[in-house]
Amino acid sequence: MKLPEVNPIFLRVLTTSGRRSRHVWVRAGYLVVMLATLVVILLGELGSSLGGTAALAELGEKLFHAVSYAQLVLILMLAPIYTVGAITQERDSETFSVLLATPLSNLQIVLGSLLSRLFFVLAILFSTLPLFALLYYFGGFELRDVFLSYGIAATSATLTGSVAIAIGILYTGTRRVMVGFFLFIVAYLVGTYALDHNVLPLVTGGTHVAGSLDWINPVGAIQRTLAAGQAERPILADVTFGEFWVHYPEYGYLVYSSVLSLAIIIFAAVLVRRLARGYGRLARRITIGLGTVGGAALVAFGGYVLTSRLGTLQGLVVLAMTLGLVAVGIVFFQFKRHRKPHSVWDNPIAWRERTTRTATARRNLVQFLYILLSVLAVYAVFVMKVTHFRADDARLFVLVVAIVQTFVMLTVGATLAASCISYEREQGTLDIMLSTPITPRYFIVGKVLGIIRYLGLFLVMMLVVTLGSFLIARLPVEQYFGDLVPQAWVDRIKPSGGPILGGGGATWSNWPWISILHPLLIAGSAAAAMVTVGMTFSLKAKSSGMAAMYSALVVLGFSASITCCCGITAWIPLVGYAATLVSPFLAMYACIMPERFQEGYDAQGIWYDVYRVVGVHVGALVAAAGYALFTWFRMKAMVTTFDQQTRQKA
Amino acid sequence: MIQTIALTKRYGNFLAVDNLHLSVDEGDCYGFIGPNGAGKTTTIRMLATLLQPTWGVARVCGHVVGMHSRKIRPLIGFVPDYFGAYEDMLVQEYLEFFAAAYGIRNPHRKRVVVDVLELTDLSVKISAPVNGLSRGMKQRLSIARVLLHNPKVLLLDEPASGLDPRARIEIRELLKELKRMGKTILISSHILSELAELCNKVGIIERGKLVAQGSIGEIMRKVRQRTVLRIGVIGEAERARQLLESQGDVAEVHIEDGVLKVALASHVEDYSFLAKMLVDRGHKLLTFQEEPANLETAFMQLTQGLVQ
Repeated sequence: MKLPEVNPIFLRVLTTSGRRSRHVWVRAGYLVVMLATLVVILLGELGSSLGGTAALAELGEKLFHAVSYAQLVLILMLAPIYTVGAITQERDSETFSVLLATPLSNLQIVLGSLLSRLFFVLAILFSTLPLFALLYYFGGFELRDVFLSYGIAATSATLTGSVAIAIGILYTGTRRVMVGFFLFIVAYLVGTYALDHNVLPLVTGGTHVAGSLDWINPVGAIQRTLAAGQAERPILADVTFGEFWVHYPEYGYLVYSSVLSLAIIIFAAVLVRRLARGYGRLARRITIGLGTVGGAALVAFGGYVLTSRLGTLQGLVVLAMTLGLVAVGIVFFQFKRHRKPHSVWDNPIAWRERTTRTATARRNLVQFLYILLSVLAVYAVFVMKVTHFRADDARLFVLVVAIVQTFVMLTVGATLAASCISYEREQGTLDIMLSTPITPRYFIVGKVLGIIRYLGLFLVMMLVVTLGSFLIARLPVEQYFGDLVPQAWVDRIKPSGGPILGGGGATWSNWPWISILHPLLIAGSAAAAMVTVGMTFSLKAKSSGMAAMYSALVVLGFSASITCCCGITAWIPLVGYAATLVSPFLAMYACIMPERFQEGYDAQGIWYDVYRVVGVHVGALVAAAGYALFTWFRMKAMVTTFDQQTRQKA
Repeated sequence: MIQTIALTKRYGNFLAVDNLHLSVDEGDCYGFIGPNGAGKTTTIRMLATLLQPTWGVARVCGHVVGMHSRKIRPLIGFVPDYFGAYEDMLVQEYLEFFAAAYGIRNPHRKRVVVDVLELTDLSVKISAPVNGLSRGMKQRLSIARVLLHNPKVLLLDEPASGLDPRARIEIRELLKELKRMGKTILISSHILSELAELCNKVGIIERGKLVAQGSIGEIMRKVRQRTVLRIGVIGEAERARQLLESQGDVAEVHIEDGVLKVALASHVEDYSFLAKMLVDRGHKLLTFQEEPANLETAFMQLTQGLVQ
């Protein structure tokens, strides 16, 4: 059969990658998640009346909202996975230079790489069309909403793909690029949302209206799409160019992401051959130069905003604190990079995991950000105390921080473990290790211990947040250290006032020690279990990238499913409360905000209180023991199958 | 020291090693030769306990691979055909790491590391990052690694592959030193001239089968049944050729680049009379020598270029 005259890169990727069963599984998984979202919403609506078209339309609207959000989140997760390897995989297999030596034009190379990968993402995206068609019968939303929902998801995928191509051209190493890319996307989504909804309203003293920048954030854009019917806004034909972005951010996002994608594609096409021809150093210098100028401009702008809003002295103090943090970060990285030889432990496998493999710039960055955000969280609690924040909001903040810390720890543990064996296989060091007298038990235990020791710092930072918040709540710190919070902040964010971080009085919690120690116990043991899950993938997967991806998805699935299951079983008399603690996230809730968690319990009285206290202890111990047992059994299974698995891969 | 009996490795329908009989004595330096895909690496990986034989027996220091693998590992040093780099380690850490893997405790460990670095001439690189080393240095570091636990047997898979001439010579000299130290070495390589200089025994493998084994002299005798002389004369080469062809002990004569290549009859051992005869007939001799044994010729004759 004669092939049509289309881009050869596009054809190659389509014909070779299209045969992989992975794509079918991902597509099936995507549809299952979308259907599960629908089922969960429908189950939640079972009790309510479905009589009449209005009620049906209301249900249709709810379902459409849920499916639109789920679709966007999933596409934002899948698009990097599919597109990030576009150039880096060519580089890894050393076919990129061969490609550059062909008569293909720069644009053909870039577009071929981008569209071939994007094809799979868009195929997944549009596989849900029948679902939307079905929902359309319920009513509650218009065709315009469907087009916008798909448009935002599709342009997000295109933008993601374009950025992936540009990063792939500038940097090497699929794994490094993939992780860096994920971090970039998360930082972009969270950063632009926080900038629009929190930072700018604060620093401009309310001049900036939250939501004005929804056109640069897909989540904000989809929010405005779904809320379009609820808010009054001028007719599209009547708005000026400036008003268009504020009043119609969903259309604004389509324009913004399309134009930006186009610009990035042109940028990539211009650079693709020039970098390969030896302009890499020049490009890096330009990047560093632009970065320096941008950094200086940012510092100057930050200084101006802070001094004008907080006063000269306090503004400069805050600016100095920020620059100090940046300086500490730079010193931290430089220190780690130019290190002296470490002394090797008697268990070299554990030493390797803890000391050298985790001493890479990426791991340092994760560790540094974790420490930084934990310290900032404690400082935020301190600010809340000084400004007499509402107790419930402050405690909710600590709970959210603890949940995020737990999730990050589980993900880092699992993904780190996911590459601990497969990466050795890729680097060719596994064979050398296997020819030494090291036994499978020694090898597996060493790996697990090394990773758990690396995660120790994460646990310590969890303790810093919970214990630090507890101490701030209990001690009169504001009397002595109140000056550490600029008065202008206190004036601006001071709420209605109330007891500080306490239930009824000035206390941290009804059960302080439970809220400090149990989260550590449960999160630590769950992290160990996730490490063994990651290692299982590492032993079986063909590449560390795939193993890391599967592990991250398992952590996500585990977190969602265990929390749903424990949330459902929480209301079972007697055992429900204890069973709740099996979910590390609900455990945080139950331990840090017990009085709110128990709102649903009708029973009262001293015995019921005793039962709850006993329940939380028993639950924590059972959960920790359960995870420990799971860890032990998984390790045992890996030791048993280690030789067989490694020989199969050999 | 190393013995294989009917060693066979099969991957599904693919026969990587077929009924291999190898024998390497203590102190031998055994060169393992064969085209790409012949089964050299598979054999070495089986001897290094990384692969389980499908059939047959492989013994290292008297221990059977697969049954006593844990006893074999401390006795061998394995260098694969690629450099297994822990790119985030420094040279000292890399060696200490493997020393610890072989159960060498401190403070002996640090001393051993210094010793092997000295032996491999890498002392100046003790604090350098492993991924910053040149290919030749990485290969020397690999050899330093396998010397940490003072193994009896070294299994070296293409140690000189991809190295520049200087690095190759350095590796060869290092291996000669190890041979002098009494190590038993099994080495596979494509650089046959170097193997000829280093090894006292060679084995030629093709499509998983051993087609020849023995000392280099024995292999040469097997492939070349008669002696070949290279005789250079000043002028009148054609007249000298005709003269030599008329001799009964000469089987074949031809001229290559002005030099006479004379193949003697198989029974001739003393060929000095030919030199005397040429001088007596007024020819001025420039060179008169036996063509040296050439492993490349043997390799080309014994193998058919068959790749699985």
